[in-house]
Amino acid sequence: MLVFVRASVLYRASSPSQPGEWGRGLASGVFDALVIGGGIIGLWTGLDLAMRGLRVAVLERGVIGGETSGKFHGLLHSGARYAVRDPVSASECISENRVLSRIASHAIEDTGGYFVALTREDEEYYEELSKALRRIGIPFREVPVEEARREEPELNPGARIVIEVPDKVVYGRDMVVSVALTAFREGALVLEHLEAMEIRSAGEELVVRLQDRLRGDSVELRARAVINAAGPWAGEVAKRAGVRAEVMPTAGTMVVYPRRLTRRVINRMRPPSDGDIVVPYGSSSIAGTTAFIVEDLENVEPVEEEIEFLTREAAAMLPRIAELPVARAYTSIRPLIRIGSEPEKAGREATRSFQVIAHSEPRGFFTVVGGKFTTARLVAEKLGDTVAKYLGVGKRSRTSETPLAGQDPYQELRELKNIDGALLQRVLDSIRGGMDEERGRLAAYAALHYAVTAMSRKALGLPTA
Amino acid sequence: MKLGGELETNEPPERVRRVLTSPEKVATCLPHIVSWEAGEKGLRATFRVNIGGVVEYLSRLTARANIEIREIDHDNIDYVFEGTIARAKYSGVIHVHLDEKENGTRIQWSADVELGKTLQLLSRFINVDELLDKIVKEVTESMIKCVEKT
Repeated sequence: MLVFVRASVLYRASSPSQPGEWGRGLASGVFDALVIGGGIIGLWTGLDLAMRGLRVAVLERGVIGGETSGKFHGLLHSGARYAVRDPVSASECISENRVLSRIASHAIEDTGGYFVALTREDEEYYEELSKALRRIGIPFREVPVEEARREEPELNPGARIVIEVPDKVVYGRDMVVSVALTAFREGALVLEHLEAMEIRSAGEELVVRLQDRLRGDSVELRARAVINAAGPWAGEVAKRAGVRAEVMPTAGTMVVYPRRLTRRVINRMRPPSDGDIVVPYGSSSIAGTTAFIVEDLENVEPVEEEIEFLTREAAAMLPRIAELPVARAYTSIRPLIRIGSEPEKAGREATRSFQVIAHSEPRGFFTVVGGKFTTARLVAEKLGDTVAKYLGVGKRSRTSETPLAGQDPYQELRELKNIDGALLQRVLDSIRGGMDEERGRLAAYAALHYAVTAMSRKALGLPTA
Repeated sequence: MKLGGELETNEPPERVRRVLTSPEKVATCLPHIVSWEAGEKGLRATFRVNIGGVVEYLSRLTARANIEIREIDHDNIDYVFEGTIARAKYSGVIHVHLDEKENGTRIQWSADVELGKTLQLLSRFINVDELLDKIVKEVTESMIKCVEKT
């Protein structure tokens, strides 16, 4: 019987220049689960499984949180946006909004949100929206327009109806690093720059052949279960396991203005449309979003027409935004999931927000598609239930009741004792306690990010440069 | 992609024809119109279309269209259009035939729509014919309601 020592793994390296340089390793062993994809869902999945006592590694080909999870608009949904058309999704959102606010308050700003009716058509939507909110149990209150304008002076003076909902802002990097740090503390490895090239069966286990994108060498890891949480790239990863997971990538553009114009998130009161939200993110305002189909995932950029469109739509709610310069725009890719074998069925079920697929071959290979930042923890919980059952592990998920690490990133960094980061530690110590302590938090999270992923690579015997 | 349908209204054919051949009236009759600019024989419009659950986080998307109105004869009108939605191109013709009936007008329409490559990719995931049918029907029904209100 193989004895597993944390971060000990049997691997083979093949490098034309230095064969045999790696491979000494520590005691041999097998992971319980490998999670391919270091976005927010992959990271929550790693944490969920680690908390059930499983030996798990999260594998990211680039930088954790570097793609979709680092390029959304920062909204922690109240669910109000989905209340009319997708009440199941709306209900999940309000539930997760409350859970995350409890376990990760340090990464969330309780801004509140307004829905604003500007036209008669918007007003006609109010009845349908308010009924749906009541039915689902999403709290809201109608705000007298004069009060709304006192609270948010930049609001269009022509606003006809305003309601307040519990929308919040989630700081993407803070949350991503907090989940990664907590997973690491629970015994998971969080590994960057490792791209899964092939997933194949080997008896009762799966072998994942990875390319180390830092050095170009190959590494093989073994696990009893492999989870494909690669988001828009899930289709490509599935192909590398010899299966199909139909994922069509869509993308959306967001525009950043260098001034925070509101305290609250501002939504247009109408069926969810492109360009109907402005999120106050730190000291900026982010307007979003659009939707278009993407053919080349590696080559997606905002276009001028979209930036102008988003500015016009945002200015309908907040006229002054049109006077601000555009700081920048960015584009985020999201997967459109295909459910069922027939296009007709796919169309009818297209509103379901995520899907977990347990592939029959290779056995032990799972794909998760869909899900949003707000509900990522829930997606991971459902995925964790499926994988744990497959592995014969009876422990339930504990992520909803366990506060995340990362509340004080400066202190967390000290506790990690990452020897390589000693000089950086001193720099961050000098920021703490001074006038830039709050602005320096992002730097502290970046340092934590580096520490967790570097220490994970080292635990596997992989170089960090 | 070919679509078609039939509608009826209590308005007389001449009235229907007047509305359906006026660029300004056609513009204001498009559903969820955002902005428009009318010319002598056509219009440029930005409007929203219902896309249902195609994209999880959106119910409607903004479309742009250039529409040329051609009066073929007294009873037949062609709308030649081309535009973009979600960075994808589309084009085609909607043919409308007006028939007088007792106390009103029967309107028969047929549409020939061409979708750009990226919209065609959607057909792997959703029933594009069904979606397009819904969109074109929403546009035509909006036009008829408008005729009755004008």
